[in-house]
Amino acid sequence: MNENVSDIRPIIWVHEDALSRSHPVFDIAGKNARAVFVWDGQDLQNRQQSLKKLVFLYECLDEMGVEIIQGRTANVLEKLCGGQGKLYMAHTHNPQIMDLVTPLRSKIDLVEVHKSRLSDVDITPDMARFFRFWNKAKKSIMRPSS
Amino acid sequence: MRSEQMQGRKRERVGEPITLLSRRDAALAEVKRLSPWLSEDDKHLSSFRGGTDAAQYLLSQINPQAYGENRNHLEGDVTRLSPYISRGVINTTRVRDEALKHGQCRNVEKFVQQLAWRDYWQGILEHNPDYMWHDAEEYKTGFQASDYSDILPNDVAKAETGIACIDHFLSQLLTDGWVHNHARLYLAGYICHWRRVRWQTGAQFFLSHLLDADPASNNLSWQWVASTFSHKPYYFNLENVRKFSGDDVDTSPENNGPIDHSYEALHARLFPNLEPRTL
Repeated sequence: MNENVSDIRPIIWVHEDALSRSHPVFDIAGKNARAVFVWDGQDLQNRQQSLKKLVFLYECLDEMGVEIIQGRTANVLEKLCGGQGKLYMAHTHNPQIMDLVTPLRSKIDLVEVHKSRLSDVDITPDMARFFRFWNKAKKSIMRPSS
Repeated sequence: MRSEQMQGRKRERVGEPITLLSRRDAALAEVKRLSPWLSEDDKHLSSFRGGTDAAQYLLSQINPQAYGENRNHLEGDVTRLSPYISRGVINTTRVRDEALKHGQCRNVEKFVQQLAWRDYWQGILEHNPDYMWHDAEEYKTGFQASDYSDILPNDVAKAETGIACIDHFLSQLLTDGWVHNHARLYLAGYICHWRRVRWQTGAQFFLSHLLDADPASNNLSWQWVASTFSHKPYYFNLENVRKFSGDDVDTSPENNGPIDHSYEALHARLFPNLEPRTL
């Protein structure tokens, strides 16, 4: 990888929970942003990802037309950001994905962008069973997007 | 090799678009280059194609009315959109909006409710990140967590348990990376309760193979089956599998012995430390 540190285009970190250019992170980061997926062999191997899953993932990335760079996620992204600029990512609830960029939080301006959800009703500790959530959120969930 | 090439040509002749095949071949070659750690035994490719075209097509085919009636049947009108939703190729709000075009009746509500489960599990996990790998509650099986094995039995990993319907569902998981939700419950119930394997081990097995693997819905569903996130363990019997399966699943008693019992008998066998189950 030979990156020009002076290139301060914002970086979008594309990860496996947001494989679409329709995700709002692309609008927020702007047209000039550079979208990158890091093929983190150590992470994929640790999570025992099977061939069929990796091929499906690759096909999604190929269609999106994003760059694929091999390496450890945090190292690659830190180098791409060059200590300046912003790193944009689609929000994910998946701790395994969030852990990959934890080392960067103190070094880089990490912007998490949320997609639209079915309902704005937050899950609260008293919703330990699904139907407590459903009964509260049903009205908004059954309403189409405006 | 020769037979694979012939098979490939045959598939092209019967109508598979050549561009799709060559794209997949290219994807396969690139994935193998990027992933030298993959075992030679890991050779299965899913029938699901990555990307928005496949997702759009499946979205155009949804039938929320029928789904509401038959979604628990293995041959029911499920959407097969889950790999695309989980990977963010398509958003649940888009699927919801498409479903609502079919009206606001009870069946459509059932359809949308299933989409909401995903949001629910994710919300639970965000509030309780420990639930991903730690028991949310005690087991309600009469056993302690330490009574369960950490190791996935080899015959399960190879779809060679000798129980025909279980091996059928395991084969789907290993080869296609997608299994009907009801069959996932059968597999999880079998692995947790018949084989007494920790839910975490089963959850990791699913995460490795399911294209739609989402740690929230996957791991919390395993906890639900195990009873560490529910009031009681989930288990089933052959009669239930037969009721919800199609002709392609072998549900003959002679090939499914260990699950061919009444619920009362299974309860006594699987959970001997609990009070007997009565009708």
